[in-house]
Amino acid sequence: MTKRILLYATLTLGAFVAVFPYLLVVLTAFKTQGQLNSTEPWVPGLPPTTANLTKLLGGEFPRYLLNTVVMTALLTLGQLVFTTFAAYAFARLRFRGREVLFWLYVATMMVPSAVTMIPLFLIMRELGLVNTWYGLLAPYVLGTPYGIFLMRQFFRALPAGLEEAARIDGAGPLKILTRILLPLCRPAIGTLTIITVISSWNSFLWPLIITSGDETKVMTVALATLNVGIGVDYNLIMAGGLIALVPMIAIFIFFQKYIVRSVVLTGLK
Amino acid sequence: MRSPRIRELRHAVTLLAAATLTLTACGSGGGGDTGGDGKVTLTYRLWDDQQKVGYDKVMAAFEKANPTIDVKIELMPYDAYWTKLTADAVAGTAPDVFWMTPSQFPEFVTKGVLADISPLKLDATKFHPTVVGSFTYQNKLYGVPKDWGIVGLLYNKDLFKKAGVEMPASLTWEPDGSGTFLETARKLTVDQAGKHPEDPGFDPAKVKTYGFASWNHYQTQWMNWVASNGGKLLDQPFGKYTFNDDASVQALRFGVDLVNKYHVSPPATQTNPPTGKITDMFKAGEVAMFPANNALLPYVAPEANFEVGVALMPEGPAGRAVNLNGLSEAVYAKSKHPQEAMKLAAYLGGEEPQKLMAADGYIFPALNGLTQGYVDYWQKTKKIDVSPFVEESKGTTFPLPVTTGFTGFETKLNQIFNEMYLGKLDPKQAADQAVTEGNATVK
Amino acid sequence: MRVRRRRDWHAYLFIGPSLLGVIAFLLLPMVIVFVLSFFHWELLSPPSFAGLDNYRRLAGDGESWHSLGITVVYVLLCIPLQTVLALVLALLLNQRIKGVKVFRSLFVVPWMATPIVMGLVWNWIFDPRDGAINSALAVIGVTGPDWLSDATWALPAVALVNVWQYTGYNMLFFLAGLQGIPRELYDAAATDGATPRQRFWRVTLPLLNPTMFFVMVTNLIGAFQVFDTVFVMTDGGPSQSTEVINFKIFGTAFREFDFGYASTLSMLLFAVILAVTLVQVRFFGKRTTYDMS
Repeated sequence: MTKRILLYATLTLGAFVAVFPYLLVVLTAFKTQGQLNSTEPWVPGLPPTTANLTKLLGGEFPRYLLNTVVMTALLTLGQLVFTTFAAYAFARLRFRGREVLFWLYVATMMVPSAVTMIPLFLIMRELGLVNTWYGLLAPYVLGTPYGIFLMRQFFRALPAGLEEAARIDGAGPLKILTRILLPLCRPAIGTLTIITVISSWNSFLWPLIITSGDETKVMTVALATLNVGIGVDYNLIMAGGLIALVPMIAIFIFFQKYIVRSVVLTGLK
Repeated sequence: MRSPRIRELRHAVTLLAAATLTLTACGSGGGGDTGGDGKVTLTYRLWDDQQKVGYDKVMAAFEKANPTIDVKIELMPYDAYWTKLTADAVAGTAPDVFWMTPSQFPEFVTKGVLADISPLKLDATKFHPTVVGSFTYQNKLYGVPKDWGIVGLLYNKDLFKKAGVEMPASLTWEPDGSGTFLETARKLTVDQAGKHPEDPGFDPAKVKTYGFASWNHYQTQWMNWVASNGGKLLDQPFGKYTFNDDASVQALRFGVDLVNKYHVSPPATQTNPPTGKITDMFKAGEVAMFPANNALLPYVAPEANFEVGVALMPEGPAGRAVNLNGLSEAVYAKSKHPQEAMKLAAYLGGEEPQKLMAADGYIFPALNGLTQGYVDYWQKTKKIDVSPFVEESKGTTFPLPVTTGFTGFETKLNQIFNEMYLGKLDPKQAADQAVTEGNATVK
Repeated sequence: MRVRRRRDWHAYLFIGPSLLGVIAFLLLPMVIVFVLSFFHWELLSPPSFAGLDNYRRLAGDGESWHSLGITVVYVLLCIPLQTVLALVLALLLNQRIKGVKVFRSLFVVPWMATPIVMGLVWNWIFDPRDGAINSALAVIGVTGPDWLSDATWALPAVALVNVWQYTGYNMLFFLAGLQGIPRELYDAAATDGATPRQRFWRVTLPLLNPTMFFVMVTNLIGAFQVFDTVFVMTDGGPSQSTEVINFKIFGTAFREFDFGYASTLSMLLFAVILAVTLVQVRFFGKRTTYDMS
């Protein structure tokens, strides 16, 4: 019993630390500028106001949210398909150059994107993709080394010999992947989905560099424009932060059931 | 259990294919600059969310007068504006007309990104000379003067009333601490026990309200002390830094003393950039006098819990000298539509749009004689008399030190002066170090 | 041999789309950066060949080596703490207890929140006078440090924010990894009379090896490139105490417009990360369990 209380106390404390900064965002989103100036950040402003939310949602912001939804959906779809294919090949198929290619993929993560961004931008200009949806999506939609690495690790953790029986039955690699391996990889796919959705949703630097018009403007870039250097409208920007997070929590709760297949024994009982 | 999953996968692939097709369809629309009807589309880039509202109107008027030109406004976040502009300049995809600041100007003009606007035959004498000077390179003007912002002394009238202090007709400061400015700041500084800095038992660690905000901000702070003490920031435009001369160091010391010796200003731990929150402290009524650029007004005034006043900046031994910082409408040197871009820039420098931006309370126009619209706006809508800003602009004003390498030097300069305001580095040492580092970056 | 060929063909088809993307959008830019490290390029004017100039400059550039040193300290502050916390959290939240789903969701909030907003909030929290941390410390009678304006505390503060942001995120991978461990192994261990502690060290940890490998490699790659937090919280200060290498690279490229040298610095960082990764490959390679190769 004391063990249980201790467990909950630890979890509650941890969760408080995790959520506290965000609590300030929520509280600020519901304050007027006057209340923001006269209260501590962790004290709610009374009476709460929804003016910031309605002001933001009444402007162009919903349009940028929609753009973000489209971008996130396409990137997630593309990544799920292509990442899974590539990771499967790297983990469970033998072919010449496998290790070299894989580590080449990983190596591309080791150079800062602030620097590779300029050559990439020039490549995009050559391809005529500057200021287009294609340019926005292209670098990520075909699968990322990060996602491929993640899925490869999960595929590798599956017991060897899983494929043997199916192979004897004449099943091809695609069939083995979809019929045998994927059903065993639900937690991994759930994880991949969540991280792809959320990282696409929050992506900032690339959308900002490759596009500049309203047609492709995403939520993060729109939020950043509320900080104009000389001043920041805290209430409005926090309201934006709140609006941006709510769908992500919903997504997480939805996909959470895929992450955890069932309850298993752990080492801590 | 398994087959539905495959169906899901197939759905996914179908969806993806459909999406790709849709994109192909819309992708082709966005690329071309010239539409089928012979119209030219110009891009105009800025970073201010609030001013964009005004420019929507301005551009609508321009398009009406020039039916063959469309203008697309692009709003960028300020921090990323320069990264994006650099990437665009490298790739040759920069906007046709865009905002430029004095501190970024040297880099972009010396590398040929900005177009010489002399073909417009603009009468430069019609604009504020400090703004014109900020965008002049080798005697040529590279950019149409757009607006200016000037540093004035914002103050909290409620705190003055509560302390029973009148704002003197003119504030003066001297390096030795005499003058009406420090005296006023002292009267307004109160600790939790109700004591002022000169009272015995005053506790600088428990101050309730500070009389003044002295902090490490070059534009609104120490450069103004330096200039009003007869110090010199730069030997000449595009030249070398000189703010380690005696007069400058004396002025820097005064700024630091306001914090660490006279205790009329919050400690640097709370105000140092990039996270300093002096603006928030002023808004919260913890600081009585706060030098700020008039461009900050929209972020301070609308919902302030107190009455905001504007006063003239303090006069130093060399009189009053305040920073006046202007923006310009730059034309991209490699614009695909140079004639139309020039036409737009010329239009933006004209009376009609500059008047509109002033009358809606966004900015003081660079074009002379139009300040009244801005003054009226703030008087009518927010009951704030902003005329001291105008008065200052007619006196001695100085631009930011315009020289190459400043963008790289700025981070280091702020770091060195952060230490100075913390009291960890003597002003003389700090100035010497900053000038040495700075001059190493001048190309 | 013929069978092998056929399977090769399949494999290339599977990796094909990603290979296309990696070559065009990741590898090519990287190669260009490598080439540019041998050039002088002020971004807005044409590049000129510099031979080994940039590398010679790097050898004598104390500030850059200082930045690299700071980055190493930062990595050491972040990674162990973050990894252990994430693993413990995953173990705690992999149990059959009430409210586990709620807790899981709460712990990933830091990573889901828009970074733009979080920087502003953390600056409030670290305020030395009325920030949440020092206000809380004052309650128990401790005077907190000046955090972001104190050269000793600024880097730990930045590290703390990153630990806060990524602990819940890494927990996700461990959770998924724990799910992949076959139940029978625990049953077998229990039958053999293994204590919970033994089960953790002999079953859980070895079988989490593939996950751990991924988490360590990617987190180290990320930590060596930390940038955003520094950019919004300290701008490299005070006294360059948080001027991590990636911040230095950004400044060199976009504030000093010295892209050639920024490319050289990127190559230095690349070499360091590559070395650290290779060490991990050897370390984890020795300890692989039942994976195929």
